[in-house]
Amino acid sequence: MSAGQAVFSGWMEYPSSVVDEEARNNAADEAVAALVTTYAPTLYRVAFSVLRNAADAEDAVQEAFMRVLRHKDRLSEVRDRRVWLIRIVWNVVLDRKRRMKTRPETDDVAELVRVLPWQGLSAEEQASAAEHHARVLGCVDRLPEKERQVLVLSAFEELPSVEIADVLGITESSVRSRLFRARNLLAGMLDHAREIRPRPGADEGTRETGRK
Amino acid sequence: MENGAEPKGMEIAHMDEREMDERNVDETLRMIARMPAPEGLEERVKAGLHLAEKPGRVLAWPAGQRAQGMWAAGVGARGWLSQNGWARTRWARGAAAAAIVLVIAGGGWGIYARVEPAQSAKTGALPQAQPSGVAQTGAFGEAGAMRRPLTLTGPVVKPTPQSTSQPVAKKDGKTVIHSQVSKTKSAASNASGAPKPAQ
Repeated sequence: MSAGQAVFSGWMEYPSSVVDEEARNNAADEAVAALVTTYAPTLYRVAFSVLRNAADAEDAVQEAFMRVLRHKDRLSEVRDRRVWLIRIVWNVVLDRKRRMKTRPETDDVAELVRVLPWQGLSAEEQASAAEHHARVLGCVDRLPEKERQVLVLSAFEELPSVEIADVLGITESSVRSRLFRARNLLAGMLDHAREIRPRPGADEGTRETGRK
Repeated sequence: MENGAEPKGMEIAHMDEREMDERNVDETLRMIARMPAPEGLEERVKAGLHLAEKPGRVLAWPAGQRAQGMWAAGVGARGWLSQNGWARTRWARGAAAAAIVLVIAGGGWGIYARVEPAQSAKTGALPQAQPSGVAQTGAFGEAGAMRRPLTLTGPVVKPTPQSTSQPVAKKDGKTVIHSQVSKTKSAASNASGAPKPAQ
């Protein structure tokens, strides 16, 4: 091995290929760190929208980046890193969701009260709003899986239908049709829930007519 | 007109409620989608990745790439050295593992061969247990004890002659030592077979 191709450090001789590989490794590490800085919040929100638990969502983000770290050598081959990362975290989240036991709705309410930003609302208003959101999310949970996935991802403004299709591995037209179906199903569910739920003014009206 | 207007109004109201519900759904999902990430998330994730990377390096040490420079210096070593490290090739790893096993087994055999087996512990025959009970000599029995401590022979006390000043009691004309009266009274009377004096 010629001296020109190697780097000397004391009595150890490092060939240039090792130095190159180290440099490449460092570059890959830096690239992963940059991905964390840029996309961790987005991935967290995606994870939270499915898991609805802050700690679980953070764990999912961590796991997703661990997977990225394992494939850091192929990072340069990735075309759209944002969509690629969302797809990874989406798979992680679905895995976790399958393994998790179903939580009661009250847990969702408590977590929403704790996590969501409530500016200028009293504690009672916060509780009532959280309950309302949890009820809506309960209806979303009752949707068929395919429709639910599209609906949840469609809420992310930064994800157009093309990218949703990329994340889910389906065509764009499938995304649109599933979204349409999801909205229809959800409307039906909410109609049904409204019919069952006693209206706020209904009791007062009947009482007044009874008095008359 | 009134009959037709009422259902239309209800329908409009129903549509309004439906729209409102849809808006609520969108609002809820958007709110979650826009939710801010917790503070320090990026740092925690980076720290986690850093920790995850470290053990891998420690485990990969034998196949470390730094060793390559040292080992690859040998001429013609390329045959068994891989490009990434000396122990990356399968057979080199196998040879290293075999060498380790050989050294450990050889060492074990050496120790086994050189060191004499420890002699079995000398065991003294236990004294035969004496039959328990009262000793033949009339002293205390050993009660089956295996060992008996050596004791000094005590002072020998000469038997003293019976003193005459011992209290005696007269009963029916016989002189009886007082201490023996109670013990031997009935026995003596039975054994002698003497007829009771006539009353």
